[in-house]
Amino acid sequence: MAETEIAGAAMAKTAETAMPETEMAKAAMPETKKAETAMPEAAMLEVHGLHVYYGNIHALKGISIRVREGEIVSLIGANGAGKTTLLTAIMNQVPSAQGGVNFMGRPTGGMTPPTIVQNGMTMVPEGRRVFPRCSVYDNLLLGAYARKDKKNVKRDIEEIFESYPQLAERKKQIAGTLSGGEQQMLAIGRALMSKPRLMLLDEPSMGLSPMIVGQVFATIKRINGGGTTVLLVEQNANQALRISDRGYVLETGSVVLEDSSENLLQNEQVKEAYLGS
Amino acid sequence: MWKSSLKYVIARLPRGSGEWFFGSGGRASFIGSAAALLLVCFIDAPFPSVTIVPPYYKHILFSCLLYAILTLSLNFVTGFIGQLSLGHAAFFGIGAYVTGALTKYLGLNFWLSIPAAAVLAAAVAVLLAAAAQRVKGAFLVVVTYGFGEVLRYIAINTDGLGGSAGMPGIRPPSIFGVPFNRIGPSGKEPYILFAFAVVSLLSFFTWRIEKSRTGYALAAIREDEIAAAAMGINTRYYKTLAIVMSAFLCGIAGSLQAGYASFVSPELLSSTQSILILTMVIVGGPRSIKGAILGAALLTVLPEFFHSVKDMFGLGFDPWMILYGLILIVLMRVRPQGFWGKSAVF
Repeated sequence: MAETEIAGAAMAKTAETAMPETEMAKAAMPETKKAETAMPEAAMLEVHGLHVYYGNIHALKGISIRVREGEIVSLIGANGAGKTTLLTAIMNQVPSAQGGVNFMGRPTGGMTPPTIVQNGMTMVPEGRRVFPRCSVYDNLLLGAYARKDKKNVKRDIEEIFESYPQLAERKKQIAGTLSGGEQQMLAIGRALMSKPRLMLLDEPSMGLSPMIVGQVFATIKRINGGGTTVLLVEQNANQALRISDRGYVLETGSVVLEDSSENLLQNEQVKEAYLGS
Repeated sequence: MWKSSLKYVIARLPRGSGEWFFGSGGRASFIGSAAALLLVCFIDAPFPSVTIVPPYYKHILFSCLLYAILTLSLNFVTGFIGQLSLGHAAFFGIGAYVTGALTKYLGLNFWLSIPAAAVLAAAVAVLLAAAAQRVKGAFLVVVTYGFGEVLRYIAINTDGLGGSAGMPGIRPPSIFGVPFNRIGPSGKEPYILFAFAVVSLLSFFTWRIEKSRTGYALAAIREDEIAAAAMGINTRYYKTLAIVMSAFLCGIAGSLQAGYASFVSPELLSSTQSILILTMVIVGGPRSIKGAILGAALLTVLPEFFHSVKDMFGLGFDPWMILYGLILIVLMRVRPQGFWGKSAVF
């Protein structure tokens, strides 16, 4: 286990240092690819053959994905492909009919959402979903709800304010009155308050202006640099693949394509269907 | 000696910073209202020949306090988790019937019947809470309404509980062997004081819970249930807790009503009663303690006042019935969050 963790950390490091220059990132990519094949047990999150039904609708038809420690993995796909369903199923917020999820080597089958959060996985839900009539500060405080180390919560809130000065200015403001971008930052900051090892992000760019979208993705990249693994669901395939290490393409409840982000960005089918070029 | 112990108690009452009783100066308002209440209750005691406060006013005062218990209880559902219930009279009725049946048939002490009533109301609420896990908003309103009506029909059709005629002749509670209706000038005073004590404790409890870990979890669920679950809040547990606590407290109010009226009837469980309690909460202001108390007092006193107007002027109709609707419309237009509401809840 110790070995795999070191490998994961090393992977995170290469990705981080290589990132400033996209050229270098491209060069570094084959190496990480190799590491992946050499050490398959390093997966932090492993979804195997997951089926989810909503009544008669077969929403997920046997999805298998893996996320390794330190990675950013993108899930792209059109509306109704099952991206959000997959995330909520991973969090056990919707029941799955078949298949299972392993998180840090442990099956999450019998866990409730609270225990999953306590085990280090958290989700930034679609559409931000900050608590609209609570203050920014209270939103962050609620993010730490599942934590056991109460003493450090205040310090961590200060850290969030240091990293996101816009939030610090609006500490006492009611969250519902923030702009869309600020709400997204708050939602991410709130998720960070649970000290996650894996963060699931559901469409963080939804409804935001292009400039703010860039800021949000830079934030995700930075969080990943800080050692948090990220599973990112996006419709903005272009931006998502640019910051991620690998990607999965979902179509009507199944994974149709899985590759490194570099390759997916070059892939003709992906270009045509999701990149709009 | 008693003076110093009273000082000790007063010094330990919560200060006015929080809102836990009428007004912003919590401690002063509590002591003030307690003193006023004692005065109203016992001003007639030294002079049996003159009546300064007629029993009728004392009856209204008791009704205000009883409804305040109910609104503060319902506040756990409407205020804390932001859901509407049209079935809360059912828990009130369950409490009343349990006390009625236990004291009448089993000869159980009234005081012992209170926990039994509260626990049974809470146990029944677990069923409603199970339904509330799956539905909310307008759907939950329909579910709670149906739930209350079912219980009312059970009461009407159970001969052992007196059927539609209700159950009369419930013995009043007694303290140190003296029955409640023999204490004080009108016999209503001990009930008033007991109801006041419950309202005070309930206000204090609500105030404390708001700033607690539980209060934060309930606020998160009210604001956004999906996000609350993503934060690791056990939404199922806290929703059940709010509903069960609410029912538990309504059950206590029911016991008190049974003892006071020495009569219970299926009317206690009617949806009119539920609607009245909910309207009181909304008029006073959901999520507000003093709002809940004010709403209960307003909608108890105003109808009585207009009844007297009717008698005074010999009107052929009750002006309250017209004004009631008008007042509600104007209030919701001008102040949708209620008199003392913090912000619109729904």
